[in-house]
Amino acid sequence: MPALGILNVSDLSTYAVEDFIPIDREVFFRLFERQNEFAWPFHLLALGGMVFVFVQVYRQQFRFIPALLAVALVVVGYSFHLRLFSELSWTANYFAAIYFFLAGLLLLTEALCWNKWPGKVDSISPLRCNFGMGLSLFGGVFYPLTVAFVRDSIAGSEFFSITPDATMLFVMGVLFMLPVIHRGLFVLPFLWCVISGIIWYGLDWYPGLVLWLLAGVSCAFGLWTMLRHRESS
Amino acid sequence: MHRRQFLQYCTVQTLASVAMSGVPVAGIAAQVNANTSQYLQKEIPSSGEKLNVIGMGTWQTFNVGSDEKLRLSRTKILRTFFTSGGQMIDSSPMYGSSQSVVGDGLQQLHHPKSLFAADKIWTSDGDATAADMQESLSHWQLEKFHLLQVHNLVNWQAHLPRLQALKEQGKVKYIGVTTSHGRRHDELEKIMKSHAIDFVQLTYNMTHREAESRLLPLAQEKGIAVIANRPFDGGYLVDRLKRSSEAIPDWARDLGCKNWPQFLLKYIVSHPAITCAIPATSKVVHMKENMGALVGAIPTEEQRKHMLQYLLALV
Ligand SMILES: NC(=O)c1ccc[n+]([C@@H]2O[C@H](COP(=O)([O-])OP(=O)(O)OC[C@H]3O[C@@H](n4cnc5c(N)ncnc54)[C@H](OP(=O)(O)O)[C@@H]3O)[C@@H](O)[C@H]2O)c1
Repeated sequence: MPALGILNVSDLSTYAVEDFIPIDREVFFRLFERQNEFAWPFHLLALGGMVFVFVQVYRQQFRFIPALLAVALVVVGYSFHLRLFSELSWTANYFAAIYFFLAGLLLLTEALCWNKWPGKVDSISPLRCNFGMGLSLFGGVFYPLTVAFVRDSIAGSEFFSITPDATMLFVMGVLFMLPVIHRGLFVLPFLWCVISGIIWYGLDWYPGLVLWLLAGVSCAFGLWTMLRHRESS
Repeated sequence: MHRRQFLQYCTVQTLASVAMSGVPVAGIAAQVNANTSQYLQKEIPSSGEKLNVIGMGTWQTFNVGSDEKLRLSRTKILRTFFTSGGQMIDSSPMYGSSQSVVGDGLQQLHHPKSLFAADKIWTSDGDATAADMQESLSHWQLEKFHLLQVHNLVNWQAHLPRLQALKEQGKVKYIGVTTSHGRRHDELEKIMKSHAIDFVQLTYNMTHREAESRLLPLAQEKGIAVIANRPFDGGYLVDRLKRSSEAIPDWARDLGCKNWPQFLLKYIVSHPAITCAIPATSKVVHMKENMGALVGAIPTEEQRKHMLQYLLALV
């Protein structure tokens, strides 16, 4: 894997985003098609996973949710980033690391909170829960449908636990719905949304910029709830 | 257009269209070894070897990974390239899977004899020059590159002496350095003045002509061949012209330009210092357009001025 050090820092201002994206847009979309072909019918299991998460959140039973999200992240990190995307760009190895690292943190959270979750935990505000629900529904349902609609192809769309953006948006949404989640955990989904938005921008596919929008809105919402919490306590 | 040129042009077009008419990929070795002398050529100053003036790049366009469907489509592009007189293919370890996609395509085409393989050293590790070359060779499925360049001047101080040694050992024919987007021209100039290199690769197109002031005259003076990268400004320029309602002017047709890509390429390769331009494409139809610039007349100094004026008024 080449080091980032091969870039001459003084030249950075002369680079455009697309200079760091060694792929054509159609080739990138083909990755989604190939990933979907490879994964089918795992999509059904992933759908079951999403339903399980929502049911568990509704029942205030949070055990297993972080572990399930971690599995989804590892599946995408390996099967999309390392298996497919890294053939096209060495940066995918770093992207996979983001997914694996977040998965590790979620497993740690699962382990540390194991005894807290069945008992009484400070419940989170309905607003935060609704926000998280909206974001995860967007990532798990509306984003895949939007991509399929815009591209006129369901085969090349994004899905939870299959492709990167849908997975990360769903994970980020669920994190908002979980109590006792360390704020630091939001950094990696935020980072991914920024990176992915840069990729879509470099590929001139502007619907993908919704990731920047959602990253910004999530960040603003997170800060706002934090400040509100501080003021009231 | 003179009658002789016109006849030559017709012959080339006929040959090319026969060879391109949907022959299956396998078993086309005979057709892909086109007679390259019918095309516009320039000399590589350090050797006198002649090279057809339109080659091809592989940045983005050939990075398709292990996708069989896309690999096959890239092999078709390579076939079009060779059947229409292409020689130089430029790639780099930086371009993801492009090297191995080219290597795969070359194997499918039974390694066309006319290939001029140009690759790059792209590592900051100054001791890894030979290892980097070997790895690239294995992707291309070749034993030797014609040209090895230090990509974007990355640690050129360490790589150039090692490339020189590889050249002396007969492991590579020509050596050089590359840059693009007008970056680090001062440093490039120093290298051209102080090192015995055969090639430089830099960005030169109708809207980015910074190299004209110092680098191109220096290349002529030092006898260094010049490869023009980003001939379409990364696609932006050709896209803009094709989307505009403007057709190419009639007088440009007399130069053998049938479309905007050919107009842009002919301008570039008609600069006396430029040896070859390397447009990249992922489409057979675009490759056919680009390779059309290999035939017909080469614009004179006067005609170049006219071409530039015309284009700058449009963009
Ligand atoms: N530092 C370096 O060493 C360096 C830096 C830059 C480039 N390079 C080399 O130079 C090569 C060329 O530069 P580049 O690829 O950046 O840019 P380019 O050749 O100026 O433009 C490539 C773009 O032009 C489009 N195109 C090609 N032929 C066309 C046609 N007939 N009609 C319409 N569009 C057409 C292609 O799209 P389609 O796929 O749709 O045809 C592609 O997007 C590179 O591939 C690389 O090998 C080297």
